[in-house]
Amino acid sequence: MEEEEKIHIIAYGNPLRQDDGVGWRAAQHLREFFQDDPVEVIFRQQLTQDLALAVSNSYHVIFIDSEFGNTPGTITHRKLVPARHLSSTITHHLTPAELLALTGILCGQVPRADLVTITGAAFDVNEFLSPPVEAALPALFKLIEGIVNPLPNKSI
Amino acid sequence: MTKQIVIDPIHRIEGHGKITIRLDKDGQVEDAAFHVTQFRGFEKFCEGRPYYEMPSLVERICGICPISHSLASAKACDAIEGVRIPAAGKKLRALLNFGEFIQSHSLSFFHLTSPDLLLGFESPPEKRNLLGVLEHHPQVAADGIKLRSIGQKIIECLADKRIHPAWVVPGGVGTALSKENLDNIAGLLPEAKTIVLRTIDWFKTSFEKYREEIKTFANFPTMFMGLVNGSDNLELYDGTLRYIDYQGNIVANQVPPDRYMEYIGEATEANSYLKSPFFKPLGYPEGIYRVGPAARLNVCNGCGTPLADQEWAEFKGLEKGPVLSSFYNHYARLIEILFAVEKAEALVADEEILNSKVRSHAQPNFSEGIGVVEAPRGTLFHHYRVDDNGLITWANMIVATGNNNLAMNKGVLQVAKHFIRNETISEATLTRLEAVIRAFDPCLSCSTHALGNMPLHVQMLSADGRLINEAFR
Repeated sequence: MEEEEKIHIIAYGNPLRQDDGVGWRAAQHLREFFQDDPVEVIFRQQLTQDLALAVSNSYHVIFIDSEFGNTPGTITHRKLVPARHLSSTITHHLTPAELLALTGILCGQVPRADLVTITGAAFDVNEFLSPPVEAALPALFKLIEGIVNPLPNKSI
Repeated sequence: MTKQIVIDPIHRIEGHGKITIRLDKDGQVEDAAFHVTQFRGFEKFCEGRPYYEMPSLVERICGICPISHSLASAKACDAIEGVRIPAAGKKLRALLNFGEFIQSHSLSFFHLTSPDLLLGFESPPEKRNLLGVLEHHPQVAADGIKLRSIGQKIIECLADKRIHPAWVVPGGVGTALSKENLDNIAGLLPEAKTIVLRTIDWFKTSFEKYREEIKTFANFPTMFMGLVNGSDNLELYDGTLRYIDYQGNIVANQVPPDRYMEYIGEATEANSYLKSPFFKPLGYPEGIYRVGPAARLNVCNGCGTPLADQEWAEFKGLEKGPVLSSFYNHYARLIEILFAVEKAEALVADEEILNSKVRSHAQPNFSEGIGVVEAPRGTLFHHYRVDDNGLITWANMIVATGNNNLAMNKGVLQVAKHFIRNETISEATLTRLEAVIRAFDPCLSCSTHALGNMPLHVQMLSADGRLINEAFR
């Protein structure tokens, strides 16, 4: 399979900040689950410019992150489009939409993109997830599997 | 009445600093200084830690050049153990260092400096940033991001993480290199070479546009210091120290790094946390010297790799003696990226680098160790003393940026005197004041570790304000 036919899963967050580390946990699981598939799983503490090079080499990118909200453990799935403007902070970190926009500027093409988040309950300095986020992980994995492969032939 | 101009913060440098300029009663520049306003303190809080923790611990000094700190630290620890590093371990350390030079120099040139060069010192500051480069010169922006990514990928292939990998250890490195990762690194180098050659071709044909900056960006006589290898060529990991004067005469040669204290003194100034190292035989502040890319190319007799040697010859041809203008640090940075790529090519072609013996093991056998490497910004010293249990009792770090402190101050003054007239400071002048600092690519997060030796000056005044007595410490 050509590089351009790859799917990239980019999970990000801080594993030392409880639920912000859900991307780290997801990446560990998904990397093993998709090891025989044309899926590359990348984990980063934050999104940086160089990821535009990976994004430009894929036809579909799925971002995984945590977010603030009222109902911890809630999984939200959004379709993403490139940001209309880039902020000056892109030298340090980018949002997923900014990363798509940067990819378009640098490489002339932007893949299909999704953002999947889990609403977190705790973001203190700890390495474990809060119970509602931990409980939501199987559903998160199932959703990602469905996005990657709409007709799944293996179970998580 | 005198007037003071403060530029705070300085943008597009690593860390936090400010510039102050003092004008006399006629509105002419009287003095100027660069202040580092943040404090890190690693020299002090490393005390009490086991020596073998140091390479990992000091990586946290910096997110840009953690590799340099881990290498200098590990070399100090090697000396404490008294071990000989296996050949493969030494080559892997060197390769790691080349990866860091590629990524760090790319960051400096493309992300921090190219907005000034490509968009112009006169362009609006809100547009003069990486976004502006992306908009008007997307190929250059793409080259910068790609080249930096290649350096980071080399580090990741070797050490498993791009930043703070904790892979360099006393006695060698933590793990051997796999054939797969060797091939991955080898596959990255051709594109790196293409990009840096393209960038050099563009940059050196544009020097004419920067005549004013070349003339005024820390363009004055000083000494230069750097490591050279046994053939007197450019050396980034090992070698001996060489000092030259502003005319190119060798002042001190083949100085073993562990004798650095005979040559370098450390002064402190009241208005900055950054040390002011100086060449001891000349004293403070006369013993001003510079380190970093241009200094290294000034002190060596060549690079020792074909393409970098061609560029080095052109670099040396810029002036009759040493290249004095710190503006040319930007050119020297590109030459060093090319050098790093060529050296990396040679290392990945060397089968010994796959040898599984990458570390020697020992207990502490000596109570003191000194490690010196060339970091992207200049010569970096780590010096530790340990007790019988191997716990750190004293640590001294002379960080690349500190070596340049006296020169940066003088450079700010030179730019201020040239561009400021009658209290008028244009945006372009402000930009150049920042840019002269940026030419040194200072890393302020790296550079402020000493506490407790700030100069003390006590004055006793009479009721009418007359000075009765004073004391200094």
